[in-house]
Amino acid sequence: MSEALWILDILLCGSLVWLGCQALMMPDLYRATASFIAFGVMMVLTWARLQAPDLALAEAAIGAGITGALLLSVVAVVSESKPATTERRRFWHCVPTGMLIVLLVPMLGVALLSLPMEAVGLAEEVREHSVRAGATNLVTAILLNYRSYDTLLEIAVLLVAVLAARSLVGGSSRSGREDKSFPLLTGFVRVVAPLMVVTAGYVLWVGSHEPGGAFQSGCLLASLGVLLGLSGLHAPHRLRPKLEDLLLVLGLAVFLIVGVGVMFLRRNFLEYPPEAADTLILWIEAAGAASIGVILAALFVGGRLAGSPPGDEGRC
Amino acid sequence: MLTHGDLFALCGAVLFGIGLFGILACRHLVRKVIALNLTSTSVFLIMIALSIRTPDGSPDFVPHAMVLTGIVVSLSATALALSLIRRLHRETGQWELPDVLPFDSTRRTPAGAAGYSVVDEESRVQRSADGEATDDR
Repeated sequence: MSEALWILDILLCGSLVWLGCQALMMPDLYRATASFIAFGVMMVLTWARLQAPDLALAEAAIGAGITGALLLSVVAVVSESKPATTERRRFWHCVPTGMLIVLLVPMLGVALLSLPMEAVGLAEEVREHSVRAGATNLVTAILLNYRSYDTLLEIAVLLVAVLAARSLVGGSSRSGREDKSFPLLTGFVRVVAPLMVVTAGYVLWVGSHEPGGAFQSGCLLASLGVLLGLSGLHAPHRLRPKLEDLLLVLGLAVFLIVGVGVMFLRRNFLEYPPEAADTLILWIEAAGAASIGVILAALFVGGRLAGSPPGDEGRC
Repeated sequence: MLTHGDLFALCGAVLFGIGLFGILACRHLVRKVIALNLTSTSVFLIMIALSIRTPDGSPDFVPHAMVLTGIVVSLSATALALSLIRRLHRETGQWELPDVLPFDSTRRTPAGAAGYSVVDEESRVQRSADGEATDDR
């Protein structure tokens, strides 16, 4: 039995390294991105093998899904633009870098192997107080209670990213491709969209005691948004900009309101009262999931989901 | 005696080296972003592989939460990097960073002064003067 596990581990690691090399060395960017997406899928298996199902869910939605879609949309623009003048490959420039890496990686390996066999962590304390923390799923308890400040700042980082993307790209950059229609994709999205909404709600709800939670649910919603955009089924003029802006800040706002609200009960910032912890966590997660979904879908199109009616302006 | 966690940690170290080489050596900016993602993922792999080293065998969940945060933040960094690259292409028509050139103040646009050979510098100056924004086609 353990030999089979070793074979599995060696195959996983080998495929990860191989796909990583492929992603960087393929001259064609489409194939490099495809290798990277396959790398993401192998990472999902690796997380599952390492007993991290929450990470597997998140990696499937984010690492293999949204990152791959983002890269493909940029690679499409790259392949449409006329090729830049390529200088001759300066191969000898890579040699010092290669030497640096060849020296660095074994040192890193030795450092990793010389770590003590059993690490002293906070696992015991986390498990002990998880009922008071409000969630039986320990990852959710850590994210939303023990280290809720990190999660608050993480949502703020997401918001800053979408605002920065808005100022850089500024507007829906996908409407130029609406002349093509893919009936298979449209039919598929029509069937799958309600299922994705229900699944996102389930993943959000179940995150308190099983693997799941706000981030996985938000990424499912974002994937739904991306699919709607790609299949042309979305109606950008139906989504008002004010509503979109409200959804973008909703997660951060609810988090801050809860965090500051408990201070009125003579507690510290973000210190939930134990009897209400699970309810507060659920509210924060729900708002967070909605926000994350809208933020990631907006990042995919370049910052702004809501637009003017199609065919209205000359801007592409 | 090598454990399963050690194997994945070493694999993470190798992936880190590959990703770092890609960041430094690849010239195309999108490939640099892919390499950056590879590096981040390898660091997460190392952290989770090391989280199995608990006395009773069940994993330590604190690194799991940190890596979940890390995955989401690296996604937003990737999205922002790709937005920057798109904007760079819109301004200069290039997908690569130029070699370091001395600052040339006789060029008419900031991109030109920084060393980019702008495709259509005159019309670009005219268009930005008119305040009209163009999207990438």
